[in-house]
Amino acid sequence: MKFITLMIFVPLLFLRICPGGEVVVYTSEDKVFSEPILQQFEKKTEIKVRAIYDTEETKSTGLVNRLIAEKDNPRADVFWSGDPVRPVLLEMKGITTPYISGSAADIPEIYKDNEGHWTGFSARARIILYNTSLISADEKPLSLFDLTKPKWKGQVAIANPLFGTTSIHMAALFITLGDEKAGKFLQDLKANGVKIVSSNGEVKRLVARGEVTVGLTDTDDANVAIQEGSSVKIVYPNQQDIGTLIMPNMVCLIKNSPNPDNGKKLIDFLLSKEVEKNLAWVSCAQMPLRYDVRTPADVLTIDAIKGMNIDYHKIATKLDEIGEFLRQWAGY
Amino acid sequence: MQKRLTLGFFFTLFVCTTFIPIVWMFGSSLYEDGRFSFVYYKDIFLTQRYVGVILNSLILASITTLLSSLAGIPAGFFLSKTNLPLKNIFKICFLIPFIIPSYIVGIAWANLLGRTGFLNTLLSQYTPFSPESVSHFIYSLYGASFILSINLFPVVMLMTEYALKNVNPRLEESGLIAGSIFQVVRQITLPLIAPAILSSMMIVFILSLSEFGIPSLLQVNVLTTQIFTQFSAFYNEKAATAIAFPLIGITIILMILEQVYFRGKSFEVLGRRASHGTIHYQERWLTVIGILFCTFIFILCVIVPLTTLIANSKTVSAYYDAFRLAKNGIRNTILYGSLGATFLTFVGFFLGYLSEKVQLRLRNSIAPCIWLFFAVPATVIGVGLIKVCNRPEGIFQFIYGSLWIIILGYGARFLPLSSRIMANYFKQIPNSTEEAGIVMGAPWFCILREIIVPLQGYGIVAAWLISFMFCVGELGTTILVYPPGHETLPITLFTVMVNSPANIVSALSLIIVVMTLLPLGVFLAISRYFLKMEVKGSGVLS
Repeated sequence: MKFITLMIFVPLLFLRICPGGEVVVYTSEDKVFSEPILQQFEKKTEIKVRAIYDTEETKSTGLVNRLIAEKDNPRADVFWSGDPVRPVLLEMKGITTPYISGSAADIPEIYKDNEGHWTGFSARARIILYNTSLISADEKPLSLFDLTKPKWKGQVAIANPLFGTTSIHMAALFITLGDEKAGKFLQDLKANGVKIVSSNGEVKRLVARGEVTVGLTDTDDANVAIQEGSSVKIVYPNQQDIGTLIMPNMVCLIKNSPNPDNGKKLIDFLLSKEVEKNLAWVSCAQMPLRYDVRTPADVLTIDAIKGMNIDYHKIATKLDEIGEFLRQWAGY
Repeated sequence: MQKRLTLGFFFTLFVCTTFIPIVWMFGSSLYEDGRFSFVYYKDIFLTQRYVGVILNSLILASITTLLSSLAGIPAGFFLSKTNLPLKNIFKICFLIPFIIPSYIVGIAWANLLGRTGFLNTLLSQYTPFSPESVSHFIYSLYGASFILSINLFPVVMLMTEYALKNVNPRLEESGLIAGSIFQVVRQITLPLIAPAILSSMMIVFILSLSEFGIPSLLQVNVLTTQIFTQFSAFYNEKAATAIAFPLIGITIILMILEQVYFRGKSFEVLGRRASHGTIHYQERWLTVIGILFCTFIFILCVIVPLTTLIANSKTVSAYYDAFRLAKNGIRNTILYGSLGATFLTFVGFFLGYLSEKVQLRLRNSIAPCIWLFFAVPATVIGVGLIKVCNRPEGIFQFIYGSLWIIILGYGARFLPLSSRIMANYFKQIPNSTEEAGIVMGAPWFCILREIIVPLQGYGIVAAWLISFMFCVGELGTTILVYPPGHETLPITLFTVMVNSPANIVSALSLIIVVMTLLPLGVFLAISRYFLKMEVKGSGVLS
C-alpha cells in the first residue's frame, strides 16, 4: 500500500507551481523555430507559456485531431499553425473564436479572416528544388507545367498530395486552373513517372542526395538543405503566369479557452513585426507579410514574388471536394 | 476472497484503462447523425480497395514475423544455451535496433539502398541487380518488412532467451544421456518453449500490423496508412476507427488458431529454482556457429544503423545542441518509462495470472478480452483517451493534466502485451506448486509472495524490459495526450527532425539509445543480483 501511495504522490513533487498567469499554445510550427519565439514572449510578459509542439511536416495530425477531440473541454488558448488551412478547418468545425488583433493592422487583408477567426504572419512559399550537380541553372524548370515534359521523366518527387502543404498546393491549383486542367496536369505528372513520397522533408532528402533531379517542396525545407551544404537551389515557379503559392503561418484563439486574455496577448505578440523579423533571420527564412520588415539578403520579401491569388476559405472547401480524386491519384 | 478481490480489482483497472477508451471509439463510429449506422463499415467490407489493403497488411506482418523469428529465435538460443564470448555485450547491443525509432532506421536503410546509396552501388556492381531494382525493393512491401523485422526481432530474442532460462535443466540433462543435442533441442527444449515463441511471434505479427512509421516513410499502402489518411487528411475519426476494425478481426482469428494449437497440451515445467541454472552446451562447433550468426545479426541490425547515425552526427557540437534540445525529454522519458514499465509489469502480472491460472471457463473468456485490442492503432487509442478523460470534473481534470494520462496511454497500448508475456511464463509453472501452498493453509498473498512471484522471476524481468522499451519509444498515443511540459524524447525527436540539421537529429537519436540503455543496464544488473539470490536461497522446491 505504501508503495502504491508513493507511486502516486512522488511524481507530484515534480510539478511546478507558477505564480503568474499562463497561456497554453498548441503549435504546428517546427519546435526549433517556435520555441525561441515563445520564450521571448515569456520573458517579455512574465506569462508562463505552456506549449505542445507538433510539426506541419507530419501533417499536424496530432494537434488538429487533439483540438477537435478536446472541443467540449478545450485545454489550449491559442493555435499557432504552420500552414494556412488547418485554422480555417478548425473555424468550420466551430473550434475557434474571433479576435481582431491591433498588431495585425498593417498585415495585408488577404492574409486575415474578415471576422477575425485567424490571422496570418510570416510566410513560406511552395517551390521547386533542384540538384545543381545534376542540372545547370539554364536547364532548371521554371514552371510546374514543365515537370510533365519528357525531359523530367522519373526525375520529379512530390509529397503525398493528401497531406500538409502539398494538399494545400493541389487545392490552390484546382481553384486557379479549374478542375479539368488541374486534373489533367496531375495525370500528366503521374504518366511522367513522378515519385510520390511521404513528406516534403523526404522530397528534400531525395533531391539533396541526387536520387531525383527536382522536387516540389517548401522554402523552409529547401533552406535547411542549403544550410547543410547540399547542392540544391530554389526556383519560385510560375512567375510568368499563375504565380507561386504563398503559405503564411496562422494564429487563432480557441473558443471557451481557459486563459483567453493571455491568449490574446500571445496572439498580439506573434503578429508583431519583431516576430516576423525573427522568423526571417532563422534557418527557416520565412518571408514577412509586411513590406517594412528588414530581412537577410537571401530571403525574398513578399513583394518580390508573384503570389497565387487565392482565398484560404475556398482552399479548405476545395480540399474536401478533391480528396477522393487525390486519394486515387496517389494510389491510396 | 483475497484472490478474487485482487484479480477483480486488476481486471477492472484493465477495463477502465484499455477497454473503455477503445470501445468508446468503436461505439461512436457506429453512430452517424444521432442514429445507429454501419455507413463507415460498409465501405470496408464492400469496397475492393480495402481487400487489397488488408492483404498488404497481412503480407507485411507475415514476412516481418518470419524474418524476426529467423533472427530472434537462434539469437535467443545462442545467448542462453551456448558459451558465446561477449554474450552480455551482444545481448545489450541486440536491443539497440528496437530502441532506435523505426523511422530513423528506415531513413538509414533508404539512404543505403536508395539509388545513390553505398550498398546500392555495391550490390549493382557485384550482383545482377540494377540500381533501380534495389531502390524499388526498399520502397516496397518487402523492403518495409525487412526494416520492420530488424526493428522487432529483439522481442522474439528476449522472450526466447528468458523462456529457455526457465526450462528445467534436469529434463534436458536426462535427454542428453539418451540422445544428441539436436534431439534434445527438437524434442524437449523447443516444445517446452513453444508458448513463448508463439507468443513472441504473435506480438511481432500484431505490432507489424499496427505499425505506421515505416509503411508511411516507404509509401506502402496498408491499413494503418489508410487510418492515418482518414485522421489527418479528412479529420474523420469515425471512418478511421472503422478501418481499424479488420485489425481486431485478424487478432481474433490469431487467438482462435493459437487456442486450437495449444488445446490439450501442457507446458508445465518446474522453474529453474528446482535446479542450479541453465544448461550450456559446450560443443565448439555450436559456439562457432553462434559467433558467426550473432556477428552477422550484429552487423546488419546494429552496426549499419549506428554507423549511419554516428557518421551523420559529424561533430561534437551536434551532441551538445541535441542534448540541449533533449534535456527536458530525458528526465521525462526515464521517469515515465520506468513508471509505465512498472505499472505494466505489476498489472500485467495479475492479468497474466487471470489468463492462465484460473478456472478454464473464466480463463477462456478473459484471455481473449485482454488481447483483443492490441492491434488497435495508437491514434485511435489517443483520441479515445481524450474523449474519456478530458472532462472538467475533479479526478479527470487532474489525470488529463498530469503525467498519469501518459501512463494511462502506456497502459491502454501495452497492457495486452505485458499480460501476454506474463501469461506465457505462467504456462510453465505447474498448478501443483500453488496447490501445495493451499494445502499448507497459506493465505493467497503468502502463496503469491513465497511461491508464484519467485517462480515467475524471469517472466517479470522480461515483461519489465520489453515494457520499458515500448514505453520509452511510444509516440502515437503520447503525442495526442501529453500535457505541456511533459514531452518525452520521441516527441522531441519527432518535432525537431524535419527542420533541424541532419547531424543534430542523428545525435538526438543516439542520445535516445544511450538514455534507454542506461536504465535497462541498471535494471538488468539489479534483477540479475536478485535472481541469483533467489537461486542461492532456493531449495524449497527441489
